[in-house]
Amino acid sequence: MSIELLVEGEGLADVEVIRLPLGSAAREIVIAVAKKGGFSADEAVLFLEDADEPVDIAVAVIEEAHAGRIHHVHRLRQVEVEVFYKEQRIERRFRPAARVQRVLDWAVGPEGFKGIDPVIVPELELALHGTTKALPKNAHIGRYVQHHQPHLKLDLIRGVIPNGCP
Amino acid sequence: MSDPAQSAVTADLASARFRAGVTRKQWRVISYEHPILVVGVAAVEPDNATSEYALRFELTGFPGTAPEVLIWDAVVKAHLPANRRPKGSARVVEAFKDWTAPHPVYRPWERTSATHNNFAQTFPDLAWHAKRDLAFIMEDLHGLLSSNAARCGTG
Repeated sequence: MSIELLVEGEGLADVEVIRLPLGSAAREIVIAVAKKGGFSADEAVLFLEDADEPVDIAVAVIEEAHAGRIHHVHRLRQVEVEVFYKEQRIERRFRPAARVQRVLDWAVGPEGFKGIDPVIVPELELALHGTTKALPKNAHIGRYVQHHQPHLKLDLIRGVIPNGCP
Repeated sequence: MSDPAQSAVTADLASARFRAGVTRKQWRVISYEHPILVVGVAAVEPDNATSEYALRFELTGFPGTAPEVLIWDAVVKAHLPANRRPKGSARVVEAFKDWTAPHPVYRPWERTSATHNNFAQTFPDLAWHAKRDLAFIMEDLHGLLSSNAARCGTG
């Protein structure tokens, strides 16, 4: 009997579905994503979305509960994130499985930038540094970094308020 | 299932991105009887309370034709009255204002809204085209409806 799993990872542009046998070793998730991403599974680590610690693939087994989680496979253990806003810059390490939303929450939260007008906080977004297109909030930040480039530079931007009236 | 639109909707509902949102409990399918899809989208109110809004999609011609999307009262099966629509930042209020028949959501990807004052042309990143999918709309709607969480400091 097999199970469908949702996965993100290094080299993947978006979340994907893989199918693996129930009861097989969690390492099979790493192998499957590494194959899709075009890298060796030997150095890769398995995370659950937004989790602080990696999954111990030496002991974990694929079970029904995995269908309710989103997995991430990456060769990086940490991503060095820098965020820029006006004249300020803040930095912190995140796991590659952290969603853009989690980085945004930190950037606009008590440990983030100072002096942001609370009224505009719900309108703020993150974009790749030097760009103006908001990143999808559900994307894992590992999507934007490679094994040899663990740094991710982002800008805190004000999202557009579309209004058809000129 | 011979209707290409129905096939396209079914494929979108089975896509990884759509399922990921369901897994995160960001949205769920309430009902689907082609061409009408009703989904529930998780929301955060300005007082930080969690809630859910129903959205009704009319999907004739999908994906070549943009969906018509109404914020919906799934009980009485009518568009949601103005006093029960989402509140929050200017972005939220503008998107869910009650503005014209058939009372659609006011976003560049929406069938009626797109043609209002060159809305879609002005915001191409949010405009509909046949390569978009339902998850694109769901992510936009959930982003709007959960944006009050940022003000509340809970993410």
